[in-house]
Amino acid sequence: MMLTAVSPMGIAIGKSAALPAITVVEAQERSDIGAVLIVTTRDGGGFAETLSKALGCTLPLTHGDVLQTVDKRAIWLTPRSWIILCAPDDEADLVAAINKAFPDREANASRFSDALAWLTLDGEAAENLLRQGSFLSFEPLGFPIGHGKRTPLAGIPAIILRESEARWTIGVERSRAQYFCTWLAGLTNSFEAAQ
Amino acid sequence: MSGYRLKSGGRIDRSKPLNFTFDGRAMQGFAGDTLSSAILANGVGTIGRSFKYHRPRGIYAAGIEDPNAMLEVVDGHGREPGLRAGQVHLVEGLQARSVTGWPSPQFDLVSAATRLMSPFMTAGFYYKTLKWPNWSWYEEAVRKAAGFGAPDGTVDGRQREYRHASCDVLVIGAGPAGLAAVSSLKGSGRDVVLVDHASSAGGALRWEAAQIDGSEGMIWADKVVADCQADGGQVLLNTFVTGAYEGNYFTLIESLVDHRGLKAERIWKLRAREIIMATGAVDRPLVYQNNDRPGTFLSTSVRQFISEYGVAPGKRLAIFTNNDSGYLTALQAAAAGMATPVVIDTRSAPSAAHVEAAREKGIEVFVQSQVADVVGGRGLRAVRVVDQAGKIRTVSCDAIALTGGATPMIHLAAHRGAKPIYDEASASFVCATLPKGWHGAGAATGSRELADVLAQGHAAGQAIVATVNSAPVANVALGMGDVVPMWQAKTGSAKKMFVDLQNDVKASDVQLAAQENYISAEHLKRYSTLGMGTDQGRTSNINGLAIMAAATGREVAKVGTTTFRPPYTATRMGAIAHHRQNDGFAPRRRMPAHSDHASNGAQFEDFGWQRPDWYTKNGSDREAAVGIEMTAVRTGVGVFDASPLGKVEVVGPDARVFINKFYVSNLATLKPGRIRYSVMCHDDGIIFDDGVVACVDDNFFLAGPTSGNAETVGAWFERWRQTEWPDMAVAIAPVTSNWAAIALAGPKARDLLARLSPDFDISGEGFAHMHFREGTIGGVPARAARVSFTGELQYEIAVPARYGQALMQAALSEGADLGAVPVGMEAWLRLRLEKGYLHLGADTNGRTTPLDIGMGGVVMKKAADFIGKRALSLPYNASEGREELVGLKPVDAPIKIGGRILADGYAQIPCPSIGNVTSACDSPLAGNIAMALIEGGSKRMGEKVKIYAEGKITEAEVCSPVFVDPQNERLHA
Repeated sequence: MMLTAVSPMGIAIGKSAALPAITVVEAQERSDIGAVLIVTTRDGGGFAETLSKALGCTLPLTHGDVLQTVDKRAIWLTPRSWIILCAPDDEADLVAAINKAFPDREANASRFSDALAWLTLDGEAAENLLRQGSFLSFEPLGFPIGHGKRTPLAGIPAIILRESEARWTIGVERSRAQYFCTWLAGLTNSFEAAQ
Repeated sequence: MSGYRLKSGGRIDRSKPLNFTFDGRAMQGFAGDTLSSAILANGVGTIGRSFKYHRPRGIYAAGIEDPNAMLEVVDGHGREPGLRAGQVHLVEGLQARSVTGWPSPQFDLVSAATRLMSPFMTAGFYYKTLKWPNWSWYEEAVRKAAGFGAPDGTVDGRQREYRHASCDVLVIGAGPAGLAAVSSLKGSGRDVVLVDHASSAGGALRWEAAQIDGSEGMIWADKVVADCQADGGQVLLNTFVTGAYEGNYFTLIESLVDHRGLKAERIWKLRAREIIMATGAVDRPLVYQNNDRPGTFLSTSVRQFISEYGVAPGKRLAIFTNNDSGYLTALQAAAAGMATPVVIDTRSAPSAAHVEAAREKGIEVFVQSQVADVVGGRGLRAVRVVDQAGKIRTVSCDAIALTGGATPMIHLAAHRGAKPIYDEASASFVCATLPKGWHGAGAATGSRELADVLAQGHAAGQAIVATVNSAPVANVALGMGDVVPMWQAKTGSAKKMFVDLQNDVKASDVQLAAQENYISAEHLKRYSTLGMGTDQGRTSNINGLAIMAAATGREVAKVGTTTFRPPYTATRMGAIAHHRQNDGFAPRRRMPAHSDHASNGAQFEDFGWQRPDWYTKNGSDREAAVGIEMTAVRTGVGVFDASPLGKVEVVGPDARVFINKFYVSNLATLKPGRIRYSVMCHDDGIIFDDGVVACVDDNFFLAGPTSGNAETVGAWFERWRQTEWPDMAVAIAPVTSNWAAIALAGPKARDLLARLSPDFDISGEGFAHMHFREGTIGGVPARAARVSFTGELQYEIAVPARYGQALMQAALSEGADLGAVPVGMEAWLRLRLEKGYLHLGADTNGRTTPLDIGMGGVVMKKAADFIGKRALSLPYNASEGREELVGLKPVDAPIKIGGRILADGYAQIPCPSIGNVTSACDSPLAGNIAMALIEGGSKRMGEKVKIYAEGKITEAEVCSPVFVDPQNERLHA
């Protein structure tokens, strides 16, 4: 028997798929994004070098920083934790690599691909959509390109990554993905977004 | 009364006529009118009936302070059942209707009945009379009579938008004080947001004659606004600040109006470093006999109607005043061509300049005089004036303007806890001290003269940042003068003197409240309904409080005010709801197999997550389906989605020591691959959560908190790690959402699990009760725990969430011939009740400790310290007579959940209670069963207790809470 996988929005798995209900921007579900959660038992800076070697990517040490390689993105989450975005198929290998490097679990990697649902919003209206549900500044100065923030968005916890001027990738808890997409789709009627 | 449109004047656009209807009558107004001014200009007198006595009422004020003008409004974007007319921008095609009076406000049949009944309808009459024989006898009629229209249940076409923002300085109010502050901050580099509820800035400058810095007031206002915008400031007009909260956080509602009406609303959530409260004041009316007749207006509103909207509220206007501002109204009215026969001044020595200016215009001035009564039922025809000597004169008029001083709008500061104090100088309540970062200016602080207002606004700006800007200089011909309070007319019946027009509270009602000892401001409000209307008592509170002061021989200051709470003004529910409708209304959490549950006919309930309560696939009604689901678990196998159960990984060299500090059971000895059940407490020893903990390896523990506490327990671990044990080498990873968990429960659960291709030994010996395994199931990574919430052989299988739906489907299809059925929450909870297992939150309360649920032995055996240990060692927590969890079996009738256990020796209520029924159900195996928390429960085995529930008293026998398989043979199968 082999169980089959379903994405948070019940669409395809392992590739990006359009979300047509969200009309004012180009919206995609990103089930091609996998993730690993890394936590450390002491200040993360002391583990960063070993972790980076095991992962094959450098870990950021500053709030808001996201460091990117060809196949991974490392998001600073707290002084003692990171999320590594990777291909879903790489998740198990990364977890194994970290846990091999730290057999006493001074640092630990957990499977996290299925904890979050990732969406990409692309378009000029995206900033206004995000502004509807968050108190963050989305101005370039407050939220520079290449940065990531963990914040409440539309009343739920979210991780927001700014990929370019008008392209944002957002991770919300998988169980809340349907709500979040409904919320975004509902904003189609929003006064400003419809302008 | 007969209002009319003046031939010239006002800030309306006479080139743009607008057609609208009021109660079906076609009328015309102009762009720039409000619904109030347009209705008034069309000569409408009575617009509705009063709340309680159905007395005729007309337009009373120009803005949100009007207690009378609640109308149903239909514009091009939707319908609202009760809007204040002064708040509604007139647009083409608008329809307005009265919401009180039947068949019409002019000919109201109910008023005849209420006229007869009114002597009996004093303050609090409903509390005294509508309880016999039962409130429900009256409820329908009272509900029908109350309120201002009803929503029609449809979704309107208005759009909603949220904005989050921050600024250096929030200036609330774009009147002279606010604008002076903005002017002061010009060039300071501060990020300024200026907010005003009106559609243009200027405040009272829109209708008062004043020169500022050598320019006409509104020219100065427009320049300040333009400078502010050029300076990078933001000006939000048509915007109410509806609430002020901690951390200088504000909610604002901005109205966006187009040619069809209110198109959109934008809710701002704004945080500011500094606040300038320049919220102004509203006129205070005077209280005299029949002071509510149509044709009665607030004095400032009369000036606003004349000068802003070009509307005369009547042909002959009398003014009743206790301060100089009344004369300004008289002069403006005379200048607009209205007959203005008289100013009735309560004072003995009014300002000579004002008196002289009035007399020059042929206006008669009666000093030391009051209005004793009015002539006219449906509209004012004359006033009777009594002077100091008691001489009564009748003055013909169809409108009267009242000013008893001003009431500062201090609501927002009061939302933040600023205490209003009575200021003798202005005869009003003001905030002597403001919250941190707040600066008061203008009429909101009790100031009355324009020069003072401008100086205060400028000073407020300078207090934030010193600039080189100079204070604006005012030039006005006549000032407002001091107020000599007159709270209630000396002549006339208090039973006809209305204090609160919206709620029909009379001076006699306030006096009655005093007689009946409802003398505190809060009691007065609730007893008489004073200030409880949607106008929030803007025009009534101070008069009511002063009359209470007089009735109780106290100073006004001693009576105080009631509590100010948001919102500042009525707010549409739609604006709060934003665009969130149906599934978008609230963040709902869905399990990975949600759609599969739906296709099985799941009846979802919100348990923090959308979870199946029962399945229509199993039965056509809840009881039938639950019975089948329970039977399947006891005889075959049930499949239950346990995905929301918490999953918190605790890792690191100190993980074992760390987690042992949270649970009352000893986890120090838990071996890899084993599981233990326990509860955790707060430091007061009260149970906070329960669940199982698996030891994955020596440095890796997997805690399984309850679904509702999954996040809380993760945060609880983190809090203690950071604050109390920062040196422990431990890390916490909450991973609940990453895993879907499906439970297989029943005697055939092992057979079913075998069909799902586990790659590990699942024999009874190889995978015993309370053991944990990692491996693969169905070809994907899996964590399996053999634990039981049902008392049966049970496995909980967790797979990455993407496989949750497939696992659910596979379990049901592979188990079809084993009798596998999906099991919902209700059956699951009843199964655990049969087994006597605790349901946290149902069988525990804010007092329950582990000692009360039979875990005393576990607690005693644990030598190591844990959170709550000390509290559990205190004598009180070990004392006899505490509520303990026990089982109950019915003696004469089924036991109802929530029933009160009567104290020993009592057979009837009222009586003391010794506990309550915490869980109850009908069990296919054990019949009607229950659990209860009962004082000294463990020592009452076999005792009969009486239970009061749903109006009946029944009897039950105290027993062990384990009703099924007390030997645990099933779960060890």
